[in-house]
Amino acid sequence: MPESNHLPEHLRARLARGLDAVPELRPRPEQAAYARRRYRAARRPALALLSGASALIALAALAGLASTGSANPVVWTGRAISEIHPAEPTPSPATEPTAPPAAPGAGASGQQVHRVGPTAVRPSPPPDDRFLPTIPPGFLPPSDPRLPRFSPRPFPTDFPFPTPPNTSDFGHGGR
Amino acid sequence: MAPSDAQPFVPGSREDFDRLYRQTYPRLLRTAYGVLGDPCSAEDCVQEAFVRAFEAWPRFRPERPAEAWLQQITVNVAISHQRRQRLRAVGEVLRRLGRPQPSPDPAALSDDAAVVAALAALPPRLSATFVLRYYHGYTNREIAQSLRISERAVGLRLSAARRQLRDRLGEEWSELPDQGGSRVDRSSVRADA
Repeated sequence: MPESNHLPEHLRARLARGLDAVPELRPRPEQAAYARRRYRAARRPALALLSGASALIALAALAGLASTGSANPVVWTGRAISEIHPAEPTPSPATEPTAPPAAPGAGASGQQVHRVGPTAVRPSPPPDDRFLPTIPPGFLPPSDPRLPRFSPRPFPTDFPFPTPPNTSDFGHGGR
Repeated sequence: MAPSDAQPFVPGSREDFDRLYRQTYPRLLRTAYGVLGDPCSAEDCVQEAFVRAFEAWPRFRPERPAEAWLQQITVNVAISHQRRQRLRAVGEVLRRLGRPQPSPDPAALSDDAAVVAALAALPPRLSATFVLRYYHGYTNREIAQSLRISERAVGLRLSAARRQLRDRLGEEWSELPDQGGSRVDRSSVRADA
């Protein structure tokens, strides 16, 4: 049946007059509805970036949960740091090295210094007497008998000055 | 299709889309008006059609006629709009629990307005095909390509539209045998108008 639909001219004219009666505004693109969609199109890359970042965060959360078994992000962070710097031993008093601390500038002399974050500026603990080098017996020469021996002697009573209080005995049993 | 469409359109170009809007807006408005019969609804549908076209404009294939592409979008939008309108009207009738208001009698209108009212009372696919064929002057093949239907379906829709228009407007709208040209000269139609 193609092309067999003929419409007489006067009916086509009536149709045209009827449809041409529609009030027609002058088409102005700047007033069209699509002109306001420009911003929506411009927002698409930002929305894509935002959704991508959200997906990455969700993926990281899932990975952290799966690897640590904890839902706490602090645990994930600690685990990540320990994975990145695994050889850093935790200093403890029982395993304090007996060697003196490295002199300043040791790193510049070729010795590799591993500095990690705040541990590099952490102040060293005060020295403990228990960990000072001990002198083995026989290391020192025997004492000369001619030398005067130190013996705790009381202060002379005729000391011209008054004895200061609480210092008269110096822990030697007193007089 | 129209002589002014000779200059090709560059997909994604805002300037070319504005030019397309200026060129095709009046014809698209009449297509929607023929389907809907209401100038305000037709304006809304054409604007909506241009919004949809603008979003798809970067993916437009230049080998396809731009106006036919827009006509297809407009017809689809108008069909959806009319479906919503009719559902709303049915809902309104049910809400009132009364009888629907009769559509205006075409005989009470002027001849030209009666044609538009009768067109708008047709199923939208029929009225859209009718307007594309007899007002815009598309061939059946072009309509088939634009609406993505077969040429036979176009002919069937035109015949059905003619039958229903005859029932509403009179015997003169009944289908006549083809008297020659398959392509309607749009300029002569405009001159008659």
